[in-house]
Amino acid sequence: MFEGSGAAAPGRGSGRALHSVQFYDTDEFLYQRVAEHLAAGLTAGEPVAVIAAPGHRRGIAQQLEAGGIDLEAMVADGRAAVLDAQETLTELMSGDLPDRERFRARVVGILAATGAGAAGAPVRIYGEMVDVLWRSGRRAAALRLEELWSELAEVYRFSLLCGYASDGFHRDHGLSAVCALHSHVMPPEANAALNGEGHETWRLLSEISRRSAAEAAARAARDDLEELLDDAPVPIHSVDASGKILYANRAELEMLGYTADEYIGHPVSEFHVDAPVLDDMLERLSRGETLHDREVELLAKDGSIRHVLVSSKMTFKDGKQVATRCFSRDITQRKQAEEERDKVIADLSRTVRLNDMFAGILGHDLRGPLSTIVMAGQLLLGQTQDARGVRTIQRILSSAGRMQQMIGQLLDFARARMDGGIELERAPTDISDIARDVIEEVRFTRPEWQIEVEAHGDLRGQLDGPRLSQVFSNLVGNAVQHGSAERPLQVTIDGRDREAIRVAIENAGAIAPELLPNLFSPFRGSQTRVRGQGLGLGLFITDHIVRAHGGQIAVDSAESSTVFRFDLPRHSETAAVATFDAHEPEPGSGPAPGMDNFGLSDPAMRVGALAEAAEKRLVQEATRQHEERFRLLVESVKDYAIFMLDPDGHVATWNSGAQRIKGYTADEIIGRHFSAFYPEHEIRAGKTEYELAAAQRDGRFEDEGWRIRKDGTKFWANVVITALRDRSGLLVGYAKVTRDLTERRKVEQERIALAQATEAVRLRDEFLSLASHELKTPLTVLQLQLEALRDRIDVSDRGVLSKLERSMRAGSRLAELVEMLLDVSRIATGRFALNLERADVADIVESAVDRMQDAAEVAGCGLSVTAEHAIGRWDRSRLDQLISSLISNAIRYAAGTPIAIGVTREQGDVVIAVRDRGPGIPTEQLVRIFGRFERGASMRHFGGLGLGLYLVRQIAEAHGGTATASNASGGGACITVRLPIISPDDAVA
Amino acid sequence: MEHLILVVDDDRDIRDSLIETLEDHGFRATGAANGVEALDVLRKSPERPSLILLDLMMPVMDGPGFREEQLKNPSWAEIPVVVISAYSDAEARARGLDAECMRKPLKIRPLIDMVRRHCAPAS
Repeated sequence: MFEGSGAAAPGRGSGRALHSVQFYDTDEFLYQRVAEHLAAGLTAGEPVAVIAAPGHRRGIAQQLEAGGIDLEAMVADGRAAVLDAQETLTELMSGDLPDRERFRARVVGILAATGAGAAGAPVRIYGEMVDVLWRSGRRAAALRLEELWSELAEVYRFSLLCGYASDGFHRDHGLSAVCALHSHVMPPEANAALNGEGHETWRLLSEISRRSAAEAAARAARDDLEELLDDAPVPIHSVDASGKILYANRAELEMLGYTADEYIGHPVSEFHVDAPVLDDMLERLSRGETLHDREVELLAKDGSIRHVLVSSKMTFKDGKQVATRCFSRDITQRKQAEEERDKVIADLSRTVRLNDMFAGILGHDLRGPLSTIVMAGQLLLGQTQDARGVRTIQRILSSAGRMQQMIGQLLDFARARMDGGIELERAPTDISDIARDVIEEVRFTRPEWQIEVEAHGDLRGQLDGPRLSQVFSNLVGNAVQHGSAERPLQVTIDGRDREAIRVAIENAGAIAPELLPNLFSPFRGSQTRVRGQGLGLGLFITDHIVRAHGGQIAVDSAESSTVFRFDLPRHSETAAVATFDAHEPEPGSGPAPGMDNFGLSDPAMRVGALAEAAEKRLVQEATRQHEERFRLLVESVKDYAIFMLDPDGHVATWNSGAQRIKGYTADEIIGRHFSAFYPEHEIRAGKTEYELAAAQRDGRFEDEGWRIRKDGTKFWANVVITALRDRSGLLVGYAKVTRDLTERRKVEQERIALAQATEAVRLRDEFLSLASHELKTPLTVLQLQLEALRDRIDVSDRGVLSKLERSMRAGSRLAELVEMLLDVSRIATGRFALNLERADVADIVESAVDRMQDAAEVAGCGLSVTAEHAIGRWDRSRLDQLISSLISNAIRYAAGTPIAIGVTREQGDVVIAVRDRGPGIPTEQLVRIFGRFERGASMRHFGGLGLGLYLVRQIAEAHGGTATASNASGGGACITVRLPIISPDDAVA
Repeated sequence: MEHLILVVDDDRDIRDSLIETLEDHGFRATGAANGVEALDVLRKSPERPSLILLDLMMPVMDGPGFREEQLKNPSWAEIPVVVISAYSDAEARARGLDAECMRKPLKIRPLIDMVRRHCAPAS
């Protein structure tokens, strides 16, 4: 019955109903106490109501008048209501008992008449309707009426004093029942006159009442706090001294996925992954240490591990440990994001570092064998008279030319896309010379095309001639390849502008509209690309060259004509890089007008003036203790700003987290409106009002956005505003929890940037795949023709034969390199698969060694083999490739030294070791050499794409094995490949 | 009379190289630049080719498109097809077309061996 009716609830502000009872022997004593009760309210500006018998009404008025208060005047200006107890009672009764609806209607009417009630100030009431009932013997009705008052106290704010004449009670008959219905019991004045027994009764009753009231207050306070903790978005739990979980709020349970039963009451050690970490924490806590942001791993119900930062402190009572309270922060996502980021960054930095190398390798390694072929081809051409032979050699040369052109494009692509741009070599250049050369060439190769050139003004500038030659060649070539020759090709070069030279190339025929948007993109989408037209990089590179000159290129294609236009500034600076800076309006920080404090730090209980000081203390103490505990709890939270707002949005409390995040001290901010934390434009847009209204409507409002610190800097915040209501549903304020997510947002943005970078890596891989595929077309012709030539020529001509053999070796090398690039792209795109079959590693090694003997001999390396049989399921051609790679690697790096190849069986594995006596591998590169495009020495000295060992490791790993590098004690390098032997009888693929 | 082989590849250099190589080894060969041209050859040629070397990626009509049309005509369906492609998964693609496969770049020796398997000595 006392629940919620007695003292003001903590944290809910002022004005909870107080329902007291005053027993009296004499009317004078009653008038005195009632007057005190009412006067305390009136002087505090609270309205009053008196429901009493006519004689008592007069007596009370006189008593007030003696204290300088004119009750009649108060009634006249609506601050007081005076009613007759009997009359009012008559209106309430229905049969023998008071009717709830009538009671409510009547009393609410009275409250409203004083301008008090639910929405207004608390009202002070003195009532004796119960006394009227009690004295007339209608005790059930009296008790019922008391209950109705108590019920009403749940909804309305009032302080009710009931008067009972003590002579209505014979001994304690009915007395305890009446006392039980009141939060405060005040004995009559003359109890001294009673005998000792009677005195003791009153004393006991008063004591019981006081304790009940205090307990109820404490219980209410506790309930409120727990509700608040339960709703808090911060995972919170507490652990008792024995290590058992005492309490966990919803956020804690949600974080780990357990139900309350599965978590609360269990030893906390059940949920900690790392026992020593927990032991250490508990030990520190028991020493009184406060833990802040201690990282722990907790086991979630789904078996996953949550990474959590825990802040915790032990509470002690009388020197004994009571419990630890722990605030947690789930950083699992952040951890994962960090790990992912680290991985991508590592991958990316390697890729970026190696792109340059890749480009160099592509240029060097592929161009090398091609030049060999071109030179040999030219020499052979001079020695051949036979028409068919000439045609064959011409095809060889033209294929080599095509490959060279492709490689050039690939390099440009690599530079433009991966290395940040094409570098220009500017020199005084006349565009008309460049255009003329290109057009002459086209006229020669495509005589069916008519080309008209128009030039105006000064066509000179600081430009990169060879690059612009590429531009003209691409654009004119593009026009004659795709356009229609029905109309002449029109080239216009306009140098009349001092700043820039403008070029337009127009031909008949249209470009399909769907191709236009991506015309300058690399590969122009493999769907629409038609083979035989190169890599689809021409326009992409053209665009980059024009832009490197500070100009722009655009295409216009209508039904019957297509025009490419570009401009070239004569003395261009480097093209400006457009930067996008998300500009946030400057934060405003106009202070809000000060307001009353509200909230936890101020219990703001309005205890009746007539309440006993002891009771007041008792109630306040219980409340204070809970408030204190909660306040300490909240204040100790450093990661979250947790504070209260009054119903109008003024800051009422402040914790250390709030101070840390927002920069204000409690003194500076309490009383100011919370709009101080918002950017000016959001305040103007009514954001703060909207947030409070939404919290009021839905109970809770959550948002993420920029907030402003005291020093004016911004931080990205997650904000949760919870409306706080008392039991009657009355809004008493808001709890606001703010988290600083600036770091997380940064991580998120980094993640996006990394995703873009990863996409660039993917593009590179796609490009590799395409490049190696495209290179195969001319390579096919090249090899077929070289072989055909060898079949046809006179083998007795040793000069011719040696040139041809050199060319064929170069052709094989090219094929090998292209195949390697293709392998890399297969691995990168996850299409690297094994074709397992029954085989003996010893056989594979021996046949590879046989094949490599000649090359080893040329390099001065003797090959020695000791091989045990190892029959298993292997990909024969991949293992062959692996062993050949290891041997050719040794030949390349340790020329002139013996190379030993060993195959041994060790505990179910086969171990292939290739050891040379060369310079060895620098220690810091022992691990790295298996990376893509890595090599142990400068690429100037050694050929190869730097992919050999990368592929070795990939092949080993695809077989479930490993590849490692070491330096032998006697000097030289040793590469060891260890593969598990899978019995060929196992049908497992 | 020597066997006739149809070479379908859009790259002129490859086509000519293959035709010449085949001719060097005693076969007769004719070329087509895409699937449509190849169907045209089949339709107009008085003689049925003994083997078709088929590239996969070609403009107008690609290799799979040609193969589909070829199989629709009972008198052409029996002609064996060897896919010649630079695709890294050329084998799998060829299996999907119920055809043999040779990966580009091509080597003369294995090429001729393969052609001989399909073309029994001329009667």
